[in-house]
Amino acid sequence: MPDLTPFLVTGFALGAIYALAGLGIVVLYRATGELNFAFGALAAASAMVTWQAHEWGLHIWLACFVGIVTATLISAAYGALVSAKVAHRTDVIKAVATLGLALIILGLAYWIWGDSPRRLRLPLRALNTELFGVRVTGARVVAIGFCLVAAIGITALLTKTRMGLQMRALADTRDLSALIGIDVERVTLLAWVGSGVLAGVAGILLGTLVRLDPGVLTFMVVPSLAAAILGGLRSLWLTLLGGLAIGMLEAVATPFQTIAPYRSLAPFIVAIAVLMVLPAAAFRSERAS
Amino acid sequence: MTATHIQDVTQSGGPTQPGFVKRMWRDNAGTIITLGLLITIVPFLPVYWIRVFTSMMAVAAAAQGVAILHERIGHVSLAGIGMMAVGGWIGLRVAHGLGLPFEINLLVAAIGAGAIGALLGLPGIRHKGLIFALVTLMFAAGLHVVVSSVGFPDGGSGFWGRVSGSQERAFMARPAVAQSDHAYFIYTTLIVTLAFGLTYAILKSSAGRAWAMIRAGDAVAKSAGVNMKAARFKAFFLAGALSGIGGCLMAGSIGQLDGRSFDALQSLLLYGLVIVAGPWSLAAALIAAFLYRVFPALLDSWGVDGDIAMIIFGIALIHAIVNAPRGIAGQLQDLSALISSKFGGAAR
Repeated sequence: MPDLTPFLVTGFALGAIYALAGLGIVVLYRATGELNFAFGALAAASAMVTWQAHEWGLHIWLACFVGIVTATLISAAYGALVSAKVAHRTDVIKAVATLGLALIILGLAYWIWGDSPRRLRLPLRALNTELFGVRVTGARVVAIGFCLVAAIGITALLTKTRMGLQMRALADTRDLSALIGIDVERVTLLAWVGSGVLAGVAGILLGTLVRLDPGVLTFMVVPSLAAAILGGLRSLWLTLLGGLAIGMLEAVATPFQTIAPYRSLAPFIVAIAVLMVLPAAAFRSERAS
Repeated sequence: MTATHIQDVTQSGGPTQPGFVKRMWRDNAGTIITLGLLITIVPFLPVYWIRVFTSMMAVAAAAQGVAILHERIGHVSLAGIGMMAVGGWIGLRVAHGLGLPFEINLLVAAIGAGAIGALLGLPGIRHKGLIFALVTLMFAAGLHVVVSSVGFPDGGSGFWGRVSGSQERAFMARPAVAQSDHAYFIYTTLIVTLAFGLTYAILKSSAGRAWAMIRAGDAVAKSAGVNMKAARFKAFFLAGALSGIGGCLMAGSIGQLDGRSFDALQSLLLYGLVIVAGPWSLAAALIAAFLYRVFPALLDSWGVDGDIAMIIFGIALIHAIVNAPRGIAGQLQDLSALISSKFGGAAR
């Protein structure tokens, strides 16, 4: 039996990014009933813009800021221009509309950057550490830390602030929320902005771990959706645990030669099993239920 | 309930209705003329374009399956291209393993993919909408991992049928009557036309009427005595079988398949294009397949980056959802009605 510790630690960091993306997907779904298929594409936009800005001579942290702002602005633009127009359609049609955004971003990214090999490196060597005797890079430490901070922050936002209360009200009933004076469009926009920020950060962190390719980064949305499914598209903490579990499950399969080629199947098998076992009501957005 | 569905329910058969062929012509004249034009013109194009159009016809079969699930029973399948991979895999495995005629391989691929489609549809009996869409997306993503790792059968032994070492990869034999590229295009188009004809016949049968009831609402269908599970099962089987036909035809065109061509994003793209095309119409499958396969190749040939196609598709998808729910097929139908009324008015 091989020593699985290094794989578990590596998988924990990858899982943290799936979890972070899953949180971004869940928080938007809870507030607006929109499942964002474009989350991975927004992440890709952030990572590619960061790389480009750094190539043009911007300091890496400033480049990261530009990347995150880009993803946030695109996300906000969609929230302002399209989201309201599909607000009264079914959940699935709203999700398919975000697929349109994903195609636009992916097409633009491939048009501008193509699929040449690139790497994104963050100066985080100072944060390199050891966990259970396994060396953990700074980028992975930041991924795990940011994921936890995001989960705590979003939970606090939804439960302790007026904006969170408005988001939950909006999630319950959009029309009634408007009737009691909640600025529905503003709250929707803010949910898209928040989701955009998370996509921007997730994209940069993932960009340091995998090949910097728009398609690869866009595809991140699928395992992240699997993490969100494990959280019933509702629970932030179950999504967090689901993302971490998926990342570790993928990684621990690596040393086993017979199953290693299929390790990326893990999130999909787990997600399908959860979708088959849990009742449909468990996944409804609060508004739909 | 849309006008099309009401028409489906109320105009399916009956003593005062014209014959099946006349009705098929009346409902699908544009599609039939387009297929006729393709068979007439494409064989005279350069080989590259013949292959592109052959691939388009194969994708059209899969697009038809996606459109049926969306429009007839209200289920979103994000595994259209993935199911093509299933059909292609079965077709290749049977061809290399048993050496049967192409038509038998095609039939086995259709039945096999139909059965897997029906299995995939089992969660669709419990879940509708977004949840079922996610099940199919996860299936498509998982399938891509498998076909990328295992690859498609290429004449080897064992269950997976893969050659090893320096052994040469085998190609799937084309049908005896369609060895050349232009003959294979005509063959593919005729098979897809036959599949469309059968689909239309099913839509006008009791199964089609049951689907129209389901689309109108579960309560409506139940009160009309529709066996919901059986009706949905048939729709999933048909959709899977159509994709299977498409996959096997594509395998026959190239001789081998590459797992990298069947990623989940391709299935998402196909679904988006079916929506852009207008899934209520049989023509939608052709339009979606044209956009999916021919349009990027056209852009390439004009010196325009093919990635621009993806940007256009994204804009078109959002436009279709927000402003034009009947899609391109609907707009073409409106244009045709406008021209008819102008000419009709002038004649009077």
